[in-house]
Amino acid sequence: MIPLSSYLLLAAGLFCIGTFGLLTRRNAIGILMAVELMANAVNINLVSFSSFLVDLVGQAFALLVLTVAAAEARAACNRHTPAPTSCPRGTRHRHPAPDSNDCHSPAANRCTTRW
Amino acid sequence: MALRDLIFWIVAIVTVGCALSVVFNRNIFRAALFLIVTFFSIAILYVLLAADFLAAVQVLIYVGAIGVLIIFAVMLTRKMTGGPILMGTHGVLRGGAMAGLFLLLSVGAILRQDLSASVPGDVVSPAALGRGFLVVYMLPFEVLSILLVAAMIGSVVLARKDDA
Repeated sequence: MIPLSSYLLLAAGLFCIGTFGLLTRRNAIGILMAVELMANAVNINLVSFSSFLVDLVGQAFALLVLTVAAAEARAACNRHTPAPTSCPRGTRHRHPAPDSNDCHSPAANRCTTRW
Repeated sequence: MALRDLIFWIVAIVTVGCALSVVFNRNIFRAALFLIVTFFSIAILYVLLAADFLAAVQVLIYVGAIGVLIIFAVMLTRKMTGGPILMGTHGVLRGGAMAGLFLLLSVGAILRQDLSASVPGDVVSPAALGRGFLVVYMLPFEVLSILLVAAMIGSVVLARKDDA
């Protein structure tokens, strides 16, 4: 049988890998992935204690952590999707025509809202 | 019993290896794929810990939603910049020192306790978990609902910010 300490050691290792990624990554998505690793390590800890102590609280709290991580990833990915550089903020060409590269052209229907 | 031990050690090695790849891989797309493998192996760990419902939720939310979301963001970014995105690391020495120090601290704290005698409990049924969420943990459940609504409204506002 696997002792509780094995799960805790695995979670500690995962958390430290996440910490390392959080401290060293340059890219926003890389930092987000490291944060997800850390949240998963915390969840392993919670679930293993919940399972070993036969208590429901750990699993309920793990579900809470999971929901918070999902909301955070949603918001972070939304912020990260980059804005185009050549067009003014909020507009971009869906089908850039060869004759007009001008973003300020009156053909506004060619520009779409940034997602 | 031996089979469970074997599964645990294989899953542990896969988890740590894929997590290291997530942190060290220079190609962000491959890092995202390794992250999904990590999520899957953590779901297997939950099954070993007799938390079946949480394993299912892990696959649904982490693999199905967060992993796809990250890959979606990577591919959107890639479409705009063209070509694969390489991302470097900086301050490896500092970050490694911090993480290693924390690892030493936590491993020392874990090994100092006597945790070897415990055995996993019975499977927690989803019915018990749902009853708990509707009776004992009612307030956290409602706070989560508010958080999800706030995240939804926030992402709509962030996406439409430039129009206002």
